[in-house]
Amino acid sequence: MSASTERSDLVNQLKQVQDWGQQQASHWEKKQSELTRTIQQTEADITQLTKRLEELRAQQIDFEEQGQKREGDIAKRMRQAISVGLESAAQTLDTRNLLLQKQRKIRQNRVENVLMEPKFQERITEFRQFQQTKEQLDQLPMSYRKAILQHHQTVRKELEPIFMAAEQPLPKTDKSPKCIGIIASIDPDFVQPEAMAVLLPVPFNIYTEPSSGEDSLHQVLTFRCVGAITAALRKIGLTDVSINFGEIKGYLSIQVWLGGKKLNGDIRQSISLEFQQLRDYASELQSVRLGMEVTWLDPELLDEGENS
Amino acid sequence: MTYSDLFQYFSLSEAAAQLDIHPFDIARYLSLQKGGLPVELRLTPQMISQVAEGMGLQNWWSEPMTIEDENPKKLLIRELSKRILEADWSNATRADNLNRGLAGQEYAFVRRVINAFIKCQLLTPNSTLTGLSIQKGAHPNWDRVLSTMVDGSSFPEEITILFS
Repeated sequence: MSASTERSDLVNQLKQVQDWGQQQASHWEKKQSELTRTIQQTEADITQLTKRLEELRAQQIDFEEQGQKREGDIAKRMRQAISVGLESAAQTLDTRNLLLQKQRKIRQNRVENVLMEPKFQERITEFRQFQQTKEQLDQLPMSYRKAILQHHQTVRKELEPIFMAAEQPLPKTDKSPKCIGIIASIDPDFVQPEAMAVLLPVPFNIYTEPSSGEDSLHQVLTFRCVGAITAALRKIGLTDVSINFGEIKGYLSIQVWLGGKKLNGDIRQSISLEFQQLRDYASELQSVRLGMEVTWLDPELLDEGENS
Repeated sequence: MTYSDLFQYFSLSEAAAQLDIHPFDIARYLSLQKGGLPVELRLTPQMISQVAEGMGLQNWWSEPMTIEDENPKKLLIRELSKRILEADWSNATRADNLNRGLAGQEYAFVRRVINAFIKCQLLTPNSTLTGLSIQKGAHPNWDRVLSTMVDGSSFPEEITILFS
């Protein structure tokens, strides 16, 4: 080899560097290309996942809306059920009220049959005379008064069968028993109640227009419920609360403001016990075989504004 | 001789009408008595008398009015003031005692007057399980204010608007 074809070390070194540079360029170009593809793939995946996420979020919103609608539907149906229940109870009271009048008449007839017995007639006349003149007894001398009173006691004793008949509990109907629903609610909760309402299936005008005649079953039930609530409040130490009467759906609502009052017991249990006693002992309700059950509901369900 | 001739039982509504009180108030009162409400809601005259006494029922308007005034509303205010001034306030009294004996428009007007007296602190209301009760108010010049109303010389603003 001639000296003119021989490469210098400088050129060789540079050539080696040039070759290495080309190799590096090729290597990094390949790496860059791979990375670009990976980025593109990832971007495509992200686009797809974002789209999927949007779909899922839309589905979630739809579910929430459906859930709210369902809650609204449940509340609406609950309100309808309350209205139907109250209406049904009011009808039951109407029909059982007729029965109560009948049962009262049966007892009255029984007493009048005893009254008609000849053996009592003379004594009845004496008893009646005493009733008419008893207020004038004080004006008589002591000895007269004593003698009259003694005689009256004898007369009364002889008329005992009549008094016993009159004091008999009302006879029981042979109709099947019926139960009416009474709605109670506490706002906001039983732990620290601020207000309580008890809704009775009787017309509000029982409060606003009290009558002065014989009590209907509606009135008897109302008076007894007012009494039961009063007694229940006293039993848990609430002696200075205000009891008010309002109208809900045309029915009578007994409302008690409890805000800030200390309760010495469970108000729900206290009410429950008093109503149980009412059910078990009230002669009029027993006579017409009328029961009742108290159902505690969210006060919002009694909101008339949302009932449309 | 009939049943009702011999036995004098009254419904709770009849008893309430006799006593000029709301029947709910009798139910509330009886529920707090020993034994609670009777097994059957019918009351004898004796029971009705016991209820009246136990509830402290009074008729504040049983005595005729003695004050003369051409303005009927002012007359009622002056008469009520007189009765309040002369009443025994050692114990609270039922709020409806202050109206008992009146009817119609007079009844309704006196109710408004009582509310105005409460606003003026001449009367103090208290809620009880048997209804609203009234005590002597905490007005610092209680006697003087009521006396000037009785003689008609001066009325608090809250009262004046009721008859002017």
